[in-house]
Amino acid sequence: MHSVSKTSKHHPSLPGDILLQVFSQLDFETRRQVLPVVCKRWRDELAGASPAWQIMKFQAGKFDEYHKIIRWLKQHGDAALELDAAFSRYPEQPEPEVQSRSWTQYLHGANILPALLPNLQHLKLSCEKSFMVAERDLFSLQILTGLQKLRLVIASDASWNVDTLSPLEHLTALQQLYMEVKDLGSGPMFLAPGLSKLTLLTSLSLRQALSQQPDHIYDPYHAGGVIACLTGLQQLSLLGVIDRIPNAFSNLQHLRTLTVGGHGEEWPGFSVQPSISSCRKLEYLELQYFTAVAEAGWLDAWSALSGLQSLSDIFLESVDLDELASSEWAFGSSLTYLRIGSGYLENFPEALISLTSIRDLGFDMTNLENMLELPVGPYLQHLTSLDLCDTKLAAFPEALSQASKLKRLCLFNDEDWFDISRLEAILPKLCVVDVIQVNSEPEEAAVIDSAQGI
Amino acid sequence: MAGKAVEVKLYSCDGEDFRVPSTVASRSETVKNMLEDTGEEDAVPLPNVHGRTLSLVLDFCKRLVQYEKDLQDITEDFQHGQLDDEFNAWKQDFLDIDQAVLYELIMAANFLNVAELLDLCCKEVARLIKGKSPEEIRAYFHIKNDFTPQEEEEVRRENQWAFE
Repeated sequence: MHSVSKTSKHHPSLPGDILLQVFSQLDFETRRQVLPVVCKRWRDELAGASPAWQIMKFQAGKFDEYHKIIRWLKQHGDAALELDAAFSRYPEQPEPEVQSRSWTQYLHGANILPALLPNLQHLKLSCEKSFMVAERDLFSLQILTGLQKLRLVIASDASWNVDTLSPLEHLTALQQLYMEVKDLGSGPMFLAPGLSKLTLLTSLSLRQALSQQPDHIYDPYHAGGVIACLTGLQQLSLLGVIDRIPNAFSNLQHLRTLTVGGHGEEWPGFSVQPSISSCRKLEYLELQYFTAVAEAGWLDAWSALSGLQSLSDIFLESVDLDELASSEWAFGSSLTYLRIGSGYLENFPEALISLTSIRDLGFDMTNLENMLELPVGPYLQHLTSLDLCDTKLAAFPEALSQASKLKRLCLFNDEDWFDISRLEAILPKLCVVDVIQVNSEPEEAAVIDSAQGI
Repeated sequence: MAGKAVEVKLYSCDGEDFRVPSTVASRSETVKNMLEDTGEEDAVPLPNVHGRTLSLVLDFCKRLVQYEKDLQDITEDFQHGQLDDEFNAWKQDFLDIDQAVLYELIMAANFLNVAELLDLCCKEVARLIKGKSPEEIRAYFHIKNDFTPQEEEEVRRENQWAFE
């Protein structure tokens, strides 16, 4: 700390050991995410502190590296609160003369690590190309009953079954769970019914690699059933996960952010269904890779959004909005942020004109060519921020002339259709402009202009 | 009951002198060591501590000694909690000071090696930090942000969990 005085310049900094004594009184989250950002000295004091403070990170790809890690953990493992481990390569087998008990341990690495880290609270484990099968990795984690956050990026194989995730049932202190599955071999990925015991979970994120085949998907029955039991969830993200349980969200009354995504155009994605209307505290909704939003069930879900009084942010990526009529863009007045990426937005901007509560609007790969042909002036007057990524706007920048409150404008494009030289005259309140042209000549800066106070 | 406690004399850097029982002064490991070296008759100069701060330190030490004495005297378990409550309430009033005084108190507690006081003050600073964003902490404690925007972004990114 530089000083705790109101007249700090008159006082020297607190000594490092006192600073750390202050920090030791604070929770792990604050020490991790807040304190290092305050100033360089605080960051350095934290980085130089004892192992108990440190976030252990390592990547093991060689036997020697792994051996060192285990040796180190045997000394310091008790003090470790957080571990970030990546087994990113297949092991290089040591020479026969050095093969030993340690090598055997190496092959069973995931079984050893948790035993050396009895007090671990946060774990990131990446084994996407590991020699360890997911089942063994997961089994070894069950002794970490104090874990509060778990982030897994794992490979799976044909041995997956309904019990594969069962060991995680024992992590009853878990508050946040992120699991990403790569290279699924065959068969569906099951969400073990026992995960419904994790009642302290406030954040759940399940992802599967986009390359997976249609039939390699979370088991539809169990996923919905488990999620329906996790009533404390505040954040939920399901990507590459399909579920058709109609009432999956009915009990999630504390949910604040929801992300759901399918796998591509042939995938309708997670069927949110009208039960989303039970999520009365929902503030952020993100939908990815959905088609046919205008299907019967989806229209009901879409309509339900208008009843969510706290919903302020919507992010839509590759969502087929083409068949939505203007009247179906009926959201509450709380909606202030909208992003549309790769949207089939035939009716825009007509469809959005009624959304006058929006202050921050963004498009990515969306055709706005006909914007000026519609009466968008009153709508533009409310905007304070606008992103146009790979989105061509006819008659730019004059098209924005009525956006008199616009303070921030982001232009990102691989063409040179825009001319920013007239912006200052047209938008006097603009104070932040980010302009990036991807296809600029290599010798020229990729960022043409990133200026404040235009 | 012991007889009249031996008094020792302490001098602050700005010339104020304080006469306190040696049991109170000895809560400071620094003073205790000096008394052992020089004897309790000699005045103990404390060149790093101002009178107003030393006064606070000694107030704390007196109250701490009293608390510990009261603890020894209690006969019923429930009285333990009562004493704790009273001492905690006293500490809360004691810490009703501005940042500059708190800073001086921390430095004095550190120099005089009064572990309980240092611990109390550190907890108070931690309490003031708790729940604040980096920006709020900087503003509250008048700390200059010496990161460039890029550096700050990098630190944030490094310390982020997947969920935020």
